[in-house]
Amino acid sequence: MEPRSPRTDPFNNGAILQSIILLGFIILLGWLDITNQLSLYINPKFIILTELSCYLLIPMFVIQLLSALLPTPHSNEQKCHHHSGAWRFFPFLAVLIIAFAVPDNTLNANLVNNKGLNTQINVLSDSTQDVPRPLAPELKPLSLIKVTNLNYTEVISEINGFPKDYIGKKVMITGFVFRNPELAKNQISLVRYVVMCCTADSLPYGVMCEGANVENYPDGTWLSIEGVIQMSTYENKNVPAVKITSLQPINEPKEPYVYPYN
Amino acid sequence: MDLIVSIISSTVSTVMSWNDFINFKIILLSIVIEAFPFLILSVMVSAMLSHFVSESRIRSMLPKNKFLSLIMACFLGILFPVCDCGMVPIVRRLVLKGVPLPTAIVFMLAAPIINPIVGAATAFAFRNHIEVVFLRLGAAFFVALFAGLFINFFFIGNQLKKAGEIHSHTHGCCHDTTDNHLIEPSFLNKIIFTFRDASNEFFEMGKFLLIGAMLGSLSQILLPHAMLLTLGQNSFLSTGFMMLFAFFISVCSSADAFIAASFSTSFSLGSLITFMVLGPMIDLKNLLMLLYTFRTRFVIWLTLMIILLCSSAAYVINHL
Repeated sequence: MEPRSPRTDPFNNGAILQSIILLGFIILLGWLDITNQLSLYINPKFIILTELSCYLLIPMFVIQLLSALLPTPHSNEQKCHHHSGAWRFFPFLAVLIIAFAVPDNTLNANLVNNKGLNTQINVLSDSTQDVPRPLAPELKPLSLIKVTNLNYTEVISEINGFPKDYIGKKVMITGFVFRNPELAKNQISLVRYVVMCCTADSLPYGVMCEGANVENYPDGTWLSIEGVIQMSTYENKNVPAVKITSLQPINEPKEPYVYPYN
Repeated sequence: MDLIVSIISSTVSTVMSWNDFINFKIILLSIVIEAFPFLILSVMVSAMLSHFVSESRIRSMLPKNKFLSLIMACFLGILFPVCDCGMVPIVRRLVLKGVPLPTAIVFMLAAPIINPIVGAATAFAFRNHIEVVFLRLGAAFFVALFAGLFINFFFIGNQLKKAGEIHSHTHGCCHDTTDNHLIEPSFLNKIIFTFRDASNEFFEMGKFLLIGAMLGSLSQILLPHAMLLTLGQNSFLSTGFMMLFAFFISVCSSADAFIAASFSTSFSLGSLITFMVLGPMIDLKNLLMLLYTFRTRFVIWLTLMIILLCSSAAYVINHL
């Protein structure tokens, strides 16, 4: 064993730091998994991959720890790092600290503007001619449509895209309040984030609602409403809206996001 | 803990509100958690290749004809539907194992797009425009193949940074045991070395993934959608802008189709295709890893080439 570099690291700081970071990620992912919080960050169908990577991290951590504690010939990694220095661990430590120190774990209404709301992006766009409408035959005969986690995206796009088929029907929706500009005093958007892969690609998806006392609820308040679908005006256009007949402020649901197509 | 929170909140409040910071944290963590398994799997595969697969074995699997091997690399993604988050470590390992550089790079560019998962996701996002799927996969094939040919004609050698500039675990100081071919290490030792190398490579590459994720989340928080929409009207501007946007937001290739679909009413089709082709090939986190692994001059030329090819693809699509 010929040490190539005169700089020796008797304490193997690098290996110790690496072990700590690996342990940090094992604890972070394990804790999120056990407390069922992973679905707040990624689509549940990817949870199995996260668990797999957690199991791969454990032997990495053990081997890293052994090489940190036992000065075997293999623990000479540090001598080879020409860019030694703790700064290269900064991104790992920063992510771990942010993850553990910031308690909140659900996107709030502040992001809707940056992402763009579906009703603002394509107000009755012309691309709705030949969209497959798997839910339409199911919804048309109903007099009361209950919007659930499972059918959220389809029902909302049906209402926004083909309001003529639904005028006069009762509807029950849950979501949070968001006020896009140009809304009248008695109007709000009721919104939920739709997540495809991970929360980073979430898109806010919602429907306009009208009611006498909606101004009492600030942006981000979760409401459960019942109402009737009708036409209304927004930015001088004819758009579908839900006329609220009853509403109930609720706590944020356990599953705040909608995962379509699962 | 409270102290840390108060320190963070006072530093952050100059840039954004606390609510924005919470969203930043969630987006950052979601990108990290989403990409993490792909990074871990990729450094594991890379370390296993290094210890369990010999160079001659890999070389015997490639077609002898250069052009054929480039074409084959374009379609390898159908067998290995990988995510772009973990491509660079595998490509580096393949190049070290003697795979010609153009072939390895074409695999890196094409595999994250030309694969069944991404095809299905794109078809889903553009339900009423199935042609988008073919345009996306076709454009990806064209860009990857031509980038490969370009490398083939203009670059010689493997373009990896020299052992002095980069710390690689296959040759050099740390491999006294494995480099010593007189003694074949035992199977158990090989497994231990595999995990150890994977862990070291995780630290080499992971930092770029995390920095990329941080900048990506930041741009998601600070860029308002409405501003993007005003830029979408002009065909030339929109293409350039969509490329920049793809470069910065760094979402994974099976999800970007949905982001593109949300722009479909205000952006030209060409610029949307560019967004879905350039993003998985070159985004912030990949570029950082590439710059770390390959010579800077090579990475700059490759990036310029991809931008040029993507713009031409957009132009052709817009003027069909």
